[in-house]
Amino acid sequence: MTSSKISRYRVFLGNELRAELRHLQGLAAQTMFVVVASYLLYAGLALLGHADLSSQVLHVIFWLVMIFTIVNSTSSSFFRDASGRDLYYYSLLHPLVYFIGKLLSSLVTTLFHSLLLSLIFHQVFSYSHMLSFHWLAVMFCGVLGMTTLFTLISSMASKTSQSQILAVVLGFPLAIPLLLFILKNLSSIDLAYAQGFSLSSLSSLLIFDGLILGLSLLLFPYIWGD
Amino acid sequence: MALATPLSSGIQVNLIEQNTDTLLSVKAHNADFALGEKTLKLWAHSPDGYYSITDYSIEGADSLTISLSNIHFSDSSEEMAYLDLVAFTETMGIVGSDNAIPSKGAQRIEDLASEDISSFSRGSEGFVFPNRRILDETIRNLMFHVTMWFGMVGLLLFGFIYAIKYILGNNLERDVWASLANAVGLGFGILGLLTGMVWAKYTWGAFWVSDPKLNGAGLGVLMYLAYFLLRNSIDNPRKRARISAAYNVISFVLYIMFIFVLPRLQGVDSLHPGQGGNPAFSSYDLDNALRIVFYPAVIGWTFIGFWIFDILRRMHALNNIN
Repeated sequence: MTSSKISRYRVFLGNELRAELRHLQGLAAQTMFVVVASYLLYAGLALLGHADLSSQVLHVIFWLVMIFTIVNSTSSSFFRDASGRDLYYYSLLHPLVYFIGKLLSSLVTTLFHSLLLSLIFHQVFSYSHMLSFHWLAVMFCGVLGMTTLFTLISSMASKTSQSQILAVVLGFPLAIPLLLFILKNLSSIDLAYAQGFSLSSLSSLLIFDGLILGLSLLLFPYIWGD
Repeated sequence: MALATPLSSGIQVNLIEQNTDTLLSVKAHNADFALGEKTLKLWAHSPDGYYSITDYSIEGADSLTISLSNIHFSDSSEEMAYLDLVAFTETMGIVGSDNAIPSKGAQRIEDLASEDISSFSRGSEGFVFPNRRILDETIRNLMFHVTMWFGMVGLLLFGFIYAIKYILGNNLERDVWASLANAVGLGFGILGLLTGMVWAKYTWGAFWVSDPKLNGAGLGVLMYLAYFLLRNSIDNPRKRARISAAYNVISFVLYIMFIFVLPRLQGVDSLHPGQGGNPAFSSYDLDNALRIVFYPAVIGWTFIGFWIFDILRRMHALNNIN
């Protein structure tokens, strides 16, 4: 690999990240979605007196909001590009670099939003485990897997005519196994908080992440190649 | 055939508390106590032998009760043990119900004479479904639900292989083959889900229970429905083939993970036979007569699936001949 190629890749990655951050309108819309969704939940649940929600319910609600945020973020990163630019990148870059660029730029925003959402949940529902190390570790692994999966699905959906809804339809059945892994990891959070947290309990989630990442890297060149 | 073949004779035992007495109510299936009264014999079976029970009253053609107090029900403090109830009439042969008679301590049957029952015939001749507790008539579903799922996995595997072949070779015919195999597999999956639901209604009490195996099956159907939605929303055939093949690969892998790997993980419990510590049918319900039919049925359903696939493939080829 020549040095010009490497620098070209670096420029592309930098551009993707910058585009993600400069696309303030989209970013602000996603942040608004997170805030409004949590306000809606607060109004629907906490204000009406269901203050003592079980942690299981909170986990599910959190991940539902996160899944929609991730779908928005990954699909917008593909629609941001004008149609001609696809072809330009195709002549310039290896598809894996393109995929990783898209993945990283989405990951920045989804991680930011998941942190924001945890902070809001921590305050609004006064759920103290929301900022523990266990929570953050599981959240990072979960967001990584979800973002990878939905980046791949969005790249498929962006090739179709009715892409936004299709990204949801295609992605949700595939996301549920991952969601169950995450919830299973989180179900012991009350116990683990008392006993201290060991990284080994994350292994099944990490293996699943690796499986999704591997499949995505294998398949993306074929999706992109038309 | 699987619906017409009779279930073998069997007995179903319920415990009834009546005043100070404990009664065993025995219901017969495909048997007639009143008709076979002359030859009727009942035994309590413990590891030591078969002990004849003589104190019973016939209530009707298919039911009788046994009073436990008259067979020396001793109230020792030893832990609870269960004895098997074995019944015989000339028409139904020997049938039994495992662990039907509660007893505390083994000494209560010492007064009864042990008997050699090897001279009595072993029950109905010819091919019948084995009669099991709880399962009863629903064991017939083995020939539909289980075999259809084997066929489905076969067809989806075929579709998966052809999706990979398309990705590697760019031959549009392979994509058509993959999609048709997936269509037939999806049909089998839906039928398997429906037959499983009917079975669940009569053994678990509800059409749908929250169970990892069931949720996996439901999701699999959703995944493949989404696959066809994806195919229908792309017009360009090469683009459609490429993208749907990629989706096929990822959904098949996750589906297999979900129905075969996830339910076997530690801490995940399932009611489904063969899962979560439940015995699979093969270990005690599949007797040899059933096996003779079950394995050909698996092969038969798989062949029917591939036959339908072949017809669809030829129809597709004829439609696109120009």
